[in-house]
Amino acid sequence: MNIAFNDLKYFFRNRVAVFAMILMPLFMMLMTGYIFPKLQSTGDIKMAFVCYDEAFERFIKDKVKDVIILESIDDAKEWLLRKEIKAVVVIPEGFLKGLLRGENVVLKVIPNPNDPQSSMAVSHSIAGFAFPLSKSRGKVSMKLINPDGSDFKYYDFMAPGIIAMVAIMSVVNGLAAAITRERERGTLDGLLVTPTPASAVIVGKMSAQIFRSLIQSSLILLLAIFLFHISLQGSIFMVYIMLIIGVFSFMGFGIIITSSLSDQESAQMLMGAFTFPMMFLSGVFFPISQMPAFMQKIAKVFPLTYLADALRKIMVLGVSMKSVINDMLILVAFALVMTGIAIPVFAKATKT
Amino acid sequence: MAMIEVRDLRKVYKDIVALDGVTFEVEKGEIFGLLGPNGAGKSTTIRILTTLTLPTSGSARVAGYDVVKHPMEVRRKIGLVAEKVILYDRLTAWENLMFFARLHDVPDKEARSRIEEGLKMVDMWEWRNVRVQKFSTGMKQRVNIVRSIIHRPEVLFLDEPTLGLDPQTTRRIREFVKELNERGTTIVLTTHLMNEAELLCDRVGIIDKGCIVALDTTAKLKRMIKSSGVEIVALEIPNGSWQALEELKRMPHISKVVMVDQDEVHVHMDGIEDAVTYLVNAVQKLGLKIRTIKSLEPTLEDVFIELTGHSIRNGVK
Ligand SMILES: Nc1ncnc2c1ncn2[C@@H]1O[C@H](COP(=O)(O)OP(=O)(O)O)[C@@H](O)[C@H]1O
Ligand SMILES: [Mg+2]
Repeated sequence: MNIAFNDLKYFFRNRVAVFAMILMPLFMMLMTGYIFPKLQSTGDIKMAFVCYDEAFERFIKDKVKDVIILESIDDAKEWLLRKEIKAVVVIPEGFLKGLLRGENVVLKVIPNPNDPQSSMAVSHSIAGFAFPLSKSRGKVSMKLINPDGSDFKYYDFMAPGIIAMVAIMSVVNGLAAAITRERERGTLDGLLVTPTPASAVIVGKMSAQIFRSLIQSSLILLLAIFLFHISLQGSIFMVYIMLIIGVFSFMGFGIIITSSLSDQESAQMLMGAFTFPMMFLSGVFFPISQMPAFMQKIAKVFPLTYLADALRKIMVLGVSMKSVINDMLILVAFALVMTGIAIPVFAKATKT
Repeated sequence: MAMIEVRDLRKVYKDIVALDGVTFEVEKGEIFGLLGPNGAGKSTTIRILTTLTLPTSGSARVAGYDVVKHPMEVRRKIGLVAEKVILYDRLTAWENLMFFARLHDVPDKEARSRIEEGLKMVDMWEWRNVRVQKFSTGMKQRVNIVRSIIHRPEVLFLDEPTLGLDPQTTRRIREFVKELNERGTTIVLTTHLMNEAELLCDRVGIIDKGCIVALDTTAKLKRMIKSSGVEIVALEIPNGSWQALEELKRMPHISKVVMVDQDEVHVHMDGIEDAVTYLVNAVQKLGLKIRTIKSLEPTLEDVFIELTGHSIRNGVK
């Protein structure tokens, strides 16, 4: 009893810890409350068509004024990238005819990898829209595909985000732990009495962590490919480049926190208070576009958002460097600013 | 020119004054000791001189360079044995030494020969390929010292280098420090052990509560006590005579009564010819029994007590 009491007292004397303890559950509640109801609403979902059926094209142009008809799958990729549309519906040849004859027809839908949930809604609305056309019991069924024609799985949406998240989190935590350990063991002093500048110490530690994280990410990637058969459309090289930049973008943050708080427990708690919301708001588990507006704004401050987004584009849509250049630049900016702040903060912290 | 010049150094941590105006100099080739109890500010002084901490005010120069303005130059000249052993415990002794040699830009070939020489000197050569975590505290400290001089520093700082070591290792480390000094390294060490300061140091600065209260050779420090007319007499009395001791304190000519053991006290007296006779009379008046009584040569401990009013071990009056 005494021990329990003492433990609690010890814990509650740490203000950061208490703050985090209250913040986290609150956050969980808010997130689930806001996002899940949204998942069911069909709302107004924008889509485009790639039409291989002229009859249908004429029909739809007639019916819907500003319908978007795209030339090819490549075009579709472009549109999906720009996020203007949630899904591309591929209409196969003879679709309308088949429908009118009451045959079972299959619609292929390429979901936007950023928001696969919405593509489900697309399916429903198409079905509802097409139903009056089928005079008899012809059925319209949906199939989610990747741009290359392979099956799209929900995991395809998740995997890039999870890889991004694991890479960022493990590196930040790993780096913080490495620095704290060296400080507590006293070896950090040993490094700093040599003519090695503090910036070199930081860069060295960062590089070691990046290397470690790349090994870890490779393992997850292999696992995801061979066990869960996720699609990897883009180049693996691009994936690694993005991972390195992404990880770099957030590492400085870890250093700033550990340097400014000398007590390890507080540092970990504060880090948790930041990374936990990041996990949920960065579109790793829930599509950002489904979140309420203010959360979408918050999502913009997390580097994970951009890394997850870029990896998804590369891995699912198989796009080239050009299409993720925006994410890349933002991440590089994050990296420069964070590291730029981290080095002097660290140098100063080591001198007290 | 002095190797180390410390001027009016102050260091304040939030509301704790760790150093309150410390001034001293260390000559080239000296072994200089900072002697003081826990929390006196010894480590803080070392950390400032080794560029690990910034002073709040005051200045310090090491090997001619200001520690705040030219930390890199200072670092090239100094070696540090800190309170904590600076070695990575998952690396072997050899890997550790090689790593630190490279941080100091010692060429690999030169480093290899220095490591061999160093490890042989401290009898750790056979252990070079064993991970440091398998070593005893004493073995770690021996390798740690080899690390601290791998770049052949002009000044070596040692912060309580024998703390927690067995007597044998303690002796070896002291010998090693002396040998390094004979080869020309200037040495600054801290300790809370009187005999260590007496044994090793050419000059000793006595530090208490962030102030240097005395600074001289050990011989002169002791002579200082005598010339001020202070006599120290050791008195062995039966246990539990506290009451009487309190009264003893209030008698004329008796300046301090210091418990050094369960049943032994050191009595400081001044302005008196025959201290022993005076004390015997005084004690008998109080009805105390005396087991033994003898006049003492002052030790550094007594110097410390005389200057600060408390014992170095625990601050008891
Ligand atoms: N990082 C620190 N933060 C706050 N107070 C400190 C710090 N380091 C030392 N002190 C305080 O400064 C005083 C001197 O400490 P120190 O130099 O370690 O003494 P010594 O080495 O002589 O035992 C002590 O009161 C200690 O509590
Ligand atoms: Mg100390």
